[in-house]
Amino acid sequence: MHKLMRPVVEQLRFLALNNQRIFSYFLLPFLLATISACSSPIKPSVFEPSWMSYDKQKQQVNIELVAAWNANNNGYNFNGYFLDDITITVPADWLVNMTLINLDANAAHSILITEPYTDDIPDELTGEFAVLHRAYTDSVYANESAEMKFKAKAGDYWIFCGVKGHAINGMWVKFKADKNINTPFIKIQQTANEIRY
Amino acid sequence: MMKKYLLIASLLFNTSVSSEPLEWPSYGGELGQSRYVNDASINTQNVNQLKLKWMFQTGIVGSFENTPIVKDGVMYVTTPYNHLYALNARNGERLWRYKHKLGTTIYCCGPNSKGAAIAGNLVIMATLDAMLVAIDKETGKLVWETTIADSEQGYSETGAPIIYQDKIIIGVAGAEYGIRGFISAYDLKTGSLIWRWFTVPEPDQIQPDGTKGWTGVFAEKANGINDLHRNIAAEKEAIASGEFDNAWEHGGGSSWMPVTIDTKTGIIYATIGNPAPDLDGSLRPGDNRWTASMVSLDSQTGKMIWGYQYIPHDVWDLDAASPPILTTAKNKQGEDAAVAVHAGKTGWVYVHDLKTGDLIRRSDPMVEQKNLFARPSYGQGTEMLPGANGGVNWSPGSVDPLTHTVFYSNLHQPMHYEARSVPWRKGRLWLGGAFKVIPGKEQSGNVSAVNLDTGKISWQYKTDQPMIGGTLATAGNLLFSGESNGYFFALDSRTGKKLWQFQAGAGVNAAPMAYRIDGKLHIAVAAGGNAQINAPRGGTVAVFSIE
Repeated sequence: MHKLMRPVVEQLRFLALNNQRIFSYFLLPFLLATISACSSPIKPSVFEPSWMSYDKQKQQVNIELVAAWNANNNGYNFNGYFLDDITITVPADWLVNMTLINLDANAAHSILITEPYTDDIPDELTGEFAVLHRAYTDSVYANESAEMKFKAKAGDYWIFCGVKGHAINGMWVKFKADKNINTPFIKIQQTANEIRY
Repeated sequence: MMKKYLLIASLLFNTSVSSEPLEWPSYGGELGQSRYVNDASINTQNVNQLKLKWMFQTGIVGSFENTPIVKDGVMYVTTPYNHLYALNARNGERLWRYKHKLGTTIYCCGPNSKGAAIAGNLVIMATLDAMLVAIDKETGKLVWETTIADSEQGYSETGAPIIYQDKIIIGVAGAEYGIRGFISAYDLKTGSLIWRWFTVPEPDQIQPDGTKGWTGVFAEKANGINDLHRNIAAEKEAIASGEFDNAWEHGGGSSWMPVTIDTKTGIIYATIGNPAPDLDGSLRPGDNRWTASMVSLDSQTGKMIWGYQYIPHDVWDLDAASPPILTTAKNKQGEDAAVAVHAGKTGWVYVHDLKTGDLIRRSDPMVEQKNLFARPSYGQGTEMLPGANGGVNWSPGSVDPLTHTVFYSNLHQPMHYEARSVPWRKGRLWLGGAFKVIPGKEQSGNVSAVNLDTGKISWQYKTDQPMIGGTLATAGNLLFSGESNGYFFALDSRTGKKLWQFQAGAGVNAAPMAYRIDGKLHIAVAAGGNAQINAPRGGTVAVFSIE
């Protein structure tokens, strides 16, 4: 099933189970119309989101990632994104100031910049496995935050949750440092759903 | 008046120092899990003289939930990642260490190990990769090992095994990964499986109350009192569609804390955890028996005797975890009766008739309850109290059998419950949503004393941080417990007044225990913090006595 459609259909089922009468008479026509609207590409695929800011003169970008921003992927997400939902691209050699805020009540999360894994995704990674200098945080617990600052050497990477079992469960997104651009931007897969803009 | 005289007589009797050894050979001290020490040599009058006798550093930092056991002058301690230490209980000298070679591990909530069990020449430990190992108590060498379940599916062991006669009884963890829970009995000598009882029954399996499978009776209320806000008609329609016929195969129902056993009858009492997925009930219509329940089983056969479901069709992860306590309390007729007690994540203490499982009474709530049993929603979720950690999480309580009072550690953690449907995948996390903290909302904890005869709260000792760990009650009218800030403390168990404390340097998030050696009562506790509530980590076993 198409990734965008799947959660919507599942929500329909949830609503149907829990609010059968209301669902049948009032919500169903509305939701069918919503599905129709969502199926068209209403979200921007390339843009500058509210959680990213930058200073071209200083060549510095600030990125705020919230772990468990919502319930996507059992809460194992950054701003609602997981897997290849998003690619965050910054100009090469800029200073990246990345902040992780954890809203997950039951799990710690972390971030580190790793290589893109094509086969076996590591079960657990600590800071020494970051492929860019000091591009990692320790585990961040509920209601806490941590920062990491690093110089973005040109290349393709992942932003990876290093806590045991989290990346394997999809808690990673793509990160790129590109020599050929002069402002940061993000690119969202059209299949990404319920995400922070 | 009679009870008062008995209390005074008991205190006088117990204040005399006994030279007999007092052992703590299983997780809860004895198989009824009372965590009560009938020794008043350390009491409200002299507890201020309690001093650190020795400490042991395991060097293993993770999340230290162990209650040590003591037998024949030796203390056995299990650590995160399944190291097992044997220590001289007199001075903490290390006798040997066994380290289990872990295979694939997939587990929830930290690399925990609650403790070991001992019988004859064997010390038994259950492991994160869902194995049982038997270690020679003299040499620390492996005697046998057996696989309980496939750890690659998400089965794990974080609880302590319990030995009864010639059997090792243990449940399993992993409901957050969509396992199907069970309790098993293994042969002590060989490690071979004797019986296995699945917590989630097959569709045609007849239950003690005559119902079939795991759908139950479609209860609309918890304990017949609180509306669960279910849409029963929609659930029945979903069942009739046939789409969820196989949901029971991944239905959860871990039994992840040690079982309790009535040695007079050989009957097991066990608490059963949440259904899977935790938050998304749309994939598992029905009551989801016997998740979020207490059950009793025949220890010889594993046959189920009775079950009581606290939360039919739980969608809040309010599973039953804290081990049952067997004790005496007034029944509905006002007579002393044998009861099984459980304190839930709900914040209530439940008192059951031991023979029938009938709920005699439910206590006043020990923590704030708000928006109770509101259904988890999409979008920003639903705020409800208690949060998914409780109330009382796994923390074992203790009982003063003379005053019919139980003592429990509680959490207050406001959360948003947010649902999201995702399909089951082998070995993958399967919450069906997320539990989210609410920024700016204060968290706290308390130790509550609850009168089992009335259900009323006798007193509460409040803490700034949520409490996970457990309690120990003594005949000296003392109640020991610990906090995430490193303080291990003693309260007057009659009033809740703090009488003594010790800063252990790491979170005290484990249930204390006691033993008597060389005529002196010793109090011991693990101080190593907790992963789930981020209490400062360490790896210390601290032992106290009055010299």
